[in-house]
Amino acid sequence: MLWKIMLGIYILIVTVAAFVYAPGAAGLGDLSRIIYFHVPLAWVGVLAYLVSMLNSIRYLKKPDRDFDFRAVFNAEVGLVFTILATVTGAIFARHTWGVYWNWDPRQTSIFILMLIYAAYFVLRSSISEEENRARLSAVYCIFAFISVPLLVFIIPRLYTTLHPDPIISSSGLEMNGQMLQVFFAALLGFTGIYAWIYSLQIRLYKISQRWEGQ
Amino acid sequence: MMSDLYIVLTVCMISWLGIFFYLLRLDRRIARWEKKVK
Repeated sequence: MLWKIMLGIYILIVTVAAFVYAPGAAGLGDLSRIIYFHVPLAWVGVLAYLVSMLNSIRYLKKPDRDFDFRAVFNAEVGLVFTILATVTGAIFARHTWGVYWNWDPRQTSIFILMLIYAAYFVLRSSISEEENRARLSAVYCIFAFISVPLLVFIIPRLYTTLHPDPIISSSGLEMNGQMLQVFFAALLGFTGIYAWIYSLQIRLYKISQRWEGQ
Repeated sequence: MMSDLYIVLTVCMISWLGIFFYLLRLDRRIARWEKKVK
């Protein structure tokens, strides 16, 4: 319980640091502070998709319901965090480009990614037989994850985009020391939130399994 | 503007506190269920 309370205080400190300690980026000003939330949200999304894919592989190796549950749960978390990253990105776009959504390559690729993972849940809901559903969705999940690096990292960089890559570009992180400290602290904090949510869901799953067994 | 920045900061902090206490309450509830199921 202690680490959870520490996490709560830590996120509060990171939030204050993002607004008070870190300076605004050159050219973007205070708007750049959204990266301390937008990028960690996207990072947790990608991390959850990765864990989902790893559990899908584990399921195909050893068909255990536990792995299937972990794959589904992580795909859900990934989708929720991707939606939140898209919303924060759209808020940034509204204040810099003038519109929330303009089908920029970055926005289009994240939209396709969300559709791919939404299709994963459609696939699952369309198969009633439990074993078939788990096996087919595990195969789909592995292929879906192949699209993640393509849609998040590669395709948006092949086209001209309004997305402010200069902050985190192919040449590395172009932030000053204070910005970097808050940025990595935020990444760590959001990963902690993901770990907490994951542990809650696993505990809930185990309770439901025990109830079913009784 | 500086005051706008503090408004956004306050909204972010209140939002996080809301999420945090929700997760904490859920955690305690799950701990109670775990004791019941054991």
